[in-house]
Amino acid sequence: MCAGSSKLRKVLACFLMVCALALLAVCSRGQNADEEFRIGLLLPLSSTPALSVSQRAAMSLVARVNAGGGVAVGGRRLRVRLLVEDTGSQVERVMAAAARLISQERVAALVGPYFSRDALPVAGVAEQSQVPLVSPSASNPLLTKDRNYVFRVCMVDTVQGRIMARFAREDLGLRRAAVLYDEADAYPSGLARLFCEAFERLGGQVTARESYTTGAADFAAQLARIRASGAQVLFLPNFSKDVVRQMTQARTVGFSGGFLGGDSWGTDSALRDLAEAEGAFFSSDYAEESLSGQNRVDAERYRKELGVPLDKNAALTLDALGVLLAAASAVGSVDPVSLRAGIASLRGYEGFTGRLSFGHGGDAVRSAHILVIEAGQARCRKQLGPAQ
Amino acid sequence: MNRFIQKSLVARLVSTSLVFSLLGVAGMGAASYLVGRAFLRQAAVDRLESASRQKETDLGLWVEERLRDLKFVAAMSARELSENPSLVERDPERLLNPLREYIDAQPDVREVLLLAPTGGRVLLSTDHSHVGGYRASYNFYTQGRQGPTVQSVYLSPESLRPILTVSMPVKDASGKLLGVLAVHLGLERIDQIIRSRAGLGETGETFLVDSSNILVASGRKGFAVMGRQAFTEGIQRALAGGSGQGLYLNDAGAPVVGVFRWLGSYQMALLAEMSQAEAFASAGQLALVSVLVGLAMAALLGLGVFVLSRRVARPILAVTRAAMAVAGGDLSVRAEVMTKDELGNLAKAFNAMTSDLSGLYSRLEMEGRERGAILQSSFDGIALADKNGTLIYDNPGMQRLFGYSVREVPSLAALADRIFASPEDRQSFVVNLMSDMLQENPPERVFPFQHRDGGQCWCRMRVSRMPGGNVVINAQDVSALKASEERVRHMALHDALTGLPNRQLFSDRLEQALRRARRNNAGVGLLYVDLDRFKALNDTFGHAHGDRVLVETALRLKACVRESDTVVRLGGDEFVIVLPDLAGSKDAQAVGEKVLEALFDPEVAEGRMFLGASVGLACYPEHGDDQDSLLARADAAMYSAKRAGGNALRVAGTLPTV
Repeated sequence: MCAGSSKLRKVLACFLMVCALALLAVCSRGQNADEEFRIGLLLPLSSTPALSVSQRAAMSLVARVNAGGGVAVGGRRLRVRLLVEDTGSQVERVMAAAARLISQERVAALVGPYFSRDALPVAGVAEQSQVPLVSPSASNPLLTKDRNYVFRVCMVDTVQGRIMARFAREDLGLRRAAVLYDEADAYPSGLARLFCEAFERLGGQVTARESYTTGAADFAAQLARIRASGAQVLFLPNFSKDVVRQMTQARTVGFSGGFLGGDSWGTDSALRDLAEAEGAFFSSDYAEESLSGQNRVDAERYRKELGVPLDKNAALTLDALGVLLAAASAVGSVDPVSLRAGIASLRGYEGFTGRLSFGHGGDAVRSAHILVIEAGQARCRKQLGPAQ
Repeated sequence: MNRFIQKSLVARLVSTSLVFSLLGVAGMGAASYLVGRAFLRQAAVDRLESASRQKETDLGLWVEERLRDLKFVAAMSARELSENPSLVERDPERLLNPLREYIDAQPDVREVLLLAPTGGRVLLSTDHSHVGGYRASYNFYTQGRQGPTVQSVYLSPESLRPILTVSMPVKDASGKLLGVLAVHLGLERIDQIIRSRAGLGETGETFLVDSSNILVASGRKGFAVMGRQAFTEGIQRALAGGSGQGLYLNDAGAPVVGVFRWLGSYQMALLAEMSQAEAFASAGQLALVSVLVGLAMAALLGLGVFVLSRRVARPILAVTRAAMAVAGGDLSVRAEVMTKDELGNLAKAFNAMTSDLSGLYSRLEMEGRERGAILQSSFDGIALADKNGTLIYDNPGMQRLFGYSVREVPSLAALADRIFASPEDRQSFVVNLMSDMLQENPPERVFPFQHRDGGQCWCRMRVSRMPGGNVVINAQDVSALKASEERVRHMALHDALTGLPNRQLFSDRLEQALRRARRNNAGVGLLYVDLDRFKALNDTFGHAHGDRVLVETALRLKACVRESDTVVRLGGDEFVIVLPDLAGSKDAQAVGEKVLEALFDPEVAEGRMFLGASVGLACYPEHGDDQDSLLARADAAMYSAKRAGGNALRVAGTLPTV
């Protein structure tokens, strides 16, 4: 019996062991992914204008950071993970993309959207979710107003409207200006209003304020009224696709004055190549020729890598990403709340678009340029420091 | 308990059958649980599938209904606007009122907007604050210009809540676009649809999650936190664009059976889940019932095994009891033959075996007793020793022989200590016997020893080897034999009448004396004594008187000599005296003179005894160097004395050589 019972005991022990192992296998699940710095990039790729250069520049920067071991954060080196979402041109899609990045991908920060019309609704989500958002180029003043988590790298439309108004009034010595803008889009409508206010404050006269809504292609009626108003200069704060038509049609209706524009002009080479655009001025955050030192070397490298020169949006994208990485290093954390504090206290970041500092709300304190289109090139006409 | 089980056959049989049947019951319970579970899982999945399909259909119907409403409103607005294109600016209330009424009637409608045909400007809205804004870059606007559109769920920029928007163009009779009518739908109605638990059991629930993991609607009671995020395996798989089912933990961490489907047209995931506890409860019950039935069967089986093993065990136990009694020495016990099967045969065989054994045992016992009696009554001593000389057994003969028993002398060495006085004897006794033990055919040992009572005895001893290494020691008391041997020897060497050494012993003694004298450079004297007139005395007074004279003569001669001297009767009235270790012949002459004096005593017995003797003396080395010459010279010297009249001593040297 002795031998029999010890065999029986072995069988029972085996049975119990198998049960225990099965239980263990069922229970032991779950693992911890390596910590990384997850950044969402919201930019239009499938719609016009598509910012593929910005996307490639951003990916190139991230790849280089990761090749160097990642970004130094609180004594560790974290890999940077860039999660790109195509926003298209529809608000619903932007909202869904932003919600997905925040809620599902759980990014630590967002770069983008680029256009105020997209950035404004997304800013609300970012603010509510307490995820820092750094827009490279959305310039509408409302974007950062009363918000803690929303930042921008580019200059604000109030500044832009003011410097263009001053340039027209003081540098060019003009007294009568007119505006034509897309009233359905936040950026043109906002910038047009701000220009007009500044120009009138400087003693100028806005002779015509003409508007249209997104999708319009015929501006002859508005342009005829502008010509009739006697304006010396026409401010076109619209996207370049519209601006090209508007310049051509303006000359057609006999408008002979100069053209002024905002930073939206800087994205499209079609505009620079336009004969009617010769001599037109526009404000910009970025001027390739004003680059110096390491930034010039880096810009040259990007030009080689991307096959095209860095454009304004790509430069702003790199700066927005750079601001995030610098903030993470400075606070030693990629926690969204800490990151926000890091951005808000960042001073003197040397970006491709100039020296950037935060501290007064979400808008970067930065320099600006006024470019002139000459023989298909945008040349720097004037550089303005942060104070101006 | 364990000890009891190990000792009782019945307990072993019952416990073993119980263990195996319990294992079987456990296996059966597990199997029925798993099979039931698989079946129930499928059933639960089917229920959830049909429920979720139903919800999807309901959802579709709801949206369709809203779209129908919208078409009606759009047609109405188109009619109004066609009649009066500037109605929006002049009397917006006329258009707005029916919209407000519509909103009031349909609580799920959040907002109704009329948008400009181009630019997306908000012309009219039930939310006045939105009038004048632009919706140009909204999909519902751009698509709504083309035709009726359902914009899938998205996060409203205004409320930051998921909403669903249906929109459609407002056209006049000629097909000219007058505006776009859009309706934002809150998801309360979805909640209602989702909450309906038809076919979902106690714990079943359905919910909707949008593409960014945000809970849009939930059927959970009191689950008021719409808009929060939810992550479960089902949600992840559904959001990845999949539809299917699985077992996983729900948002609250409870294990559920879930069915999920991706509703592409709404960009939402619909999940239907039911707690596994509920879904598989019947499996547990089934398993419980089968385990209970199994336990009852196991108990019955155990009882059956108990009864059967009792029946089987009883004959075995009977044999066992009998066997134990036999083992205890009682060969008279017989096992009861209870059955006619193998167990009965076992009992019969056992009984046959026992009676054979009993016969054998008594024969053996008798034989043993006989052998014992032989050993006990053997006069010879018989003992058993092992190869180290330790005594194992001795019979009464042996004890009688030495006067000791094995208890007193446990070994040969101990025996030797008792029966030998000298250490040499002790040692040689042990050594000899030990070496005898090793021999195939050891010699017989005869030796004297001291009996316990102090008597000197003789023993004849022989050892013989037994199979297994022990040896049997046989010993006999040969003291009597030795004594008679001694007597015979004495008789051979001595004169029967006088007890004096006879001629044969004389020859020995003389030879010894001569050998010693040669070695020691000493002398030996030989006196030849012949009684004078003994024949006459004998004839006169008879042989008996003559014999008495001879006996007296022997006594007197012995009184004349030293202890070491030997007086011999050669025969008749002739005596010789050997005087060893003499310094010179003078001593021998002195002895001769004493002899003469002793044998001439006429006063005694009135002159009928000692009438003198003729004595001849020969000495070594003066008169001869061997027995014969010395005896002859002494004889001659005596004869010379006899011839001279007797009662005189003559020394050999004075006579001429023969």
